[in-house]
Amino acid sequence: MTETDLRTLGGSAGPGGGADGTSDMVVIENAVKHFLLPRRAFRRTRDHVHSVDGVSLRIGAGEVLGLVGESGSGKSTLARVLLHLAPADAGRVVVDGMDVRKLRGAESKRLRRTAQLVFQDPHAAMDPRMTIGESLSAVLAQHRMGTAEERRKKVEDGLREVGLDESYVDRYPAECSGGQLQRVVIARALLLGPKLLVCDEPTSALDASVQAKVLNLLSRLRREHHLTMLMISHDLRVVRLISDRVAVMYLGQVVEIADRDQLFDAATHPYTLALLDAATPKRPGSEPTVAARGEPPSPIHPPEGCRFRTRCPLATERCRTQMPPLQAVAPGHEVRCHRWDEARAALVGEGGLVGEGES
Amino acid sequence: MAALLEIDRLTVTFGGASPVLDGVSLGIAEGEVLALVGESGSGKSMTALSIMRLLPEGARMDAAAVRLGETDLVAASEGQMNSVRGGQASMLFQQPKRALDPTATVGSQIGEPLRKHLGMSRSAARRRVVELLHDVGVDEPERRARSYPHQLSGGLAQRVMIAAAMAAQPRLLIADEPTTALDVTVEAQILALIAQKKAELGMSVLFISHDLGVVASIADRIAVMYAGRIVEQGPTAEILDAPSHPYTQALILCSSLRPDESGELYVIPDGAGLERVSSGGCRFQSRCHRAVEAHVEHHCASREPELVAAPGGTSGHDTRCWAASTMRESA
Repeated sequence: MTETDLRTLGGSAGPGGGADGTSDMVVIENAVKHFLLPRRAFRRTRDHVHSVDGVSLRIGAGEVLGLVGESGSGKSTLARVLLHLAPADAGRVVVDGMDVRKLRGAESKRLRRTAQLVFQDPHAAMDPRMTIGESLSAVLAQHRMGTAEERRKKVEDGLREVGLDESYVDRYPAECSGGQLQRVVIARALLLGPKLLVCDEPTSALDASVQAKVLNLLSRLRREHHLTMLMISHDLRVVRLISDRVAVMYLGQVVEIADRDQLFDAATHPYTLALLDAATPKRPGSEPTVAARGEPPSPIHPPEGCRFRTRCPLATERCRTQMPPLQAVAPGHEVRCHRWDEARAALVGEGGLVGEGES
Repeated sequence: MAALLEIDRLTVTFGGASPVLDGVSLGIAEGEVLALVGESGSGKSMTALSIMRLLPEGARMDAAAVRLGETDLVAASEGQMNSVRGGQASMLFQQPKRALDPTATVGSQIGEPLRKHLGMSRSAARRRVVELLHDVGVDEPERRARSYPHQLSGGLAQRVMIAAAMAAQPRLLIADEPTTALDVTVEAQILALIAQKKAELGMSVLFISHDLGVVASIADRIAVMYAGRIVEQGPTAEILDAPSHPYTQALILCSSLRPDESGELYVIPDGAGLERVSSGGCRFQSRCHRAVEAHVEHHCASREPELVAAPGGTSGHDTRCWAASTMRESA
């Protein structure tokens, strides 16, 4: 089945191609999203959480961009900004030629058909009181697609495509394991024939064997549907598997972005190097290594200057006062660090990092 | 080495259902770190809770013996157990903020075992709390002692839990997925801290994790659980480099996230799931492809294998698999 069927049912998905006459599916320019905190007693001003603070990214049509960062780095907020679930405060966000900050009414429905989201916790993403069939049909009904009969058929086809038989149509979410339900969520996301799939930690809640299964499924679906993807994960290995390019976020900013192999073999930002080190399989009996000091500061009051400097082993006076710009250090490789040219030599031990010594 | 903790044929049942733990036996030597590894639902946490006698209501625990040092934990009264918990044995949890009392300051929670188990005065306890917080790498320990749990980040809360766990200088630390909820850079710090505290105090650690990568650097030995049973155990390097049980092999393969030539990741075949219903055969049988290859499938279907010395392994490397001996050559 599938792709053609989905497209026909998906209706006229609008102009193909991408934004700005190029082949970019996603263009984000200087996106800013601050969340206002509740007013506190005896304070005149209200604090902001600087979740996304001037992020610019492009994702080409058919490309998979991996987005890595720790909790509070703003990666999930960026996903929500992209899908207009948390409208950006400033900047430009374009998905498949649509300026999502200007969408109204029927146009926002077109965004929903174009871009879909897969969440971390599949149990939280499904209505526990609806059968899987009801939940999935509702998506189609919302977009006025097909008769009840056609919808049921399409839901069954969609479930089959993710490896679940039609018996799942009448099951409730509670009757499914996490891995099965994540496949249901993926099937739901694909029902409308989207071009862009945003996956927010899609396998973090799953056991190792189930994680492998879901990742295999995502790779296959990506190929078969020519999907553009934003793959958000804190797990570098997951991102490495499935991404063409990788961006690393820290406290609301992109600190490094490069082609996958360039990032894994030649990262130069101290934070990326710390993440890579943490993800390196340790040898039995080896001492646990600690590559970044302390914990991420609060995104309410990010440090002046370079935001990573409070944890960075290479920080200098200049890092304290001057925020480094995101600068190109190689074709397609940008880094936000004053000392990027020394970082690798200074921080990579003889043990090497992820990826070295492997294929 | 003398075993500090000894568990002999521990079985836990809820109502009439098949047991969640079925004849689990393990020992931890003085100063040793044993990692208990397995997927969700395999029985890792139930094992930990059994040791502390903190099983949920409705659970029935049977064991030939559960012994910590000189204390018989099966026969111990509730009063004796209270002096074991937080005294001889302490526990870390996956969600440190949920394990801490939200209505009490950090200092009073760390101080509690000091006063209760060591009989310290209030002011002596207060001084010691600051030392303990300092020892686990908390900045400004005096100020932090006056904080409430909601004012802490996840990593800081786990440090506080470790300080509280170390307060009465336990002989056994049970760490149940202590870094799973933390960011990777913080996870590395907490692992290093646990390793450091273990070395300083010479305590034993039962380290529970679903992540083989995490335990590699910290464990002396690994025990792998599947469907309420230990299916393999042995020295860390041997388990990771030369696993004998097909489930351990499969777990290592799919944890590595390395695609094969066709770009696919290894996936453990679907079977009847975490099957505890004993049809009499091996519990992993429905997902195992080794049985047929080794021509022992009649054994696998009819009788559950015993946990016996792994062929070719060093002493202390045990496996529960009929095919293990023939598998070695074919692997």
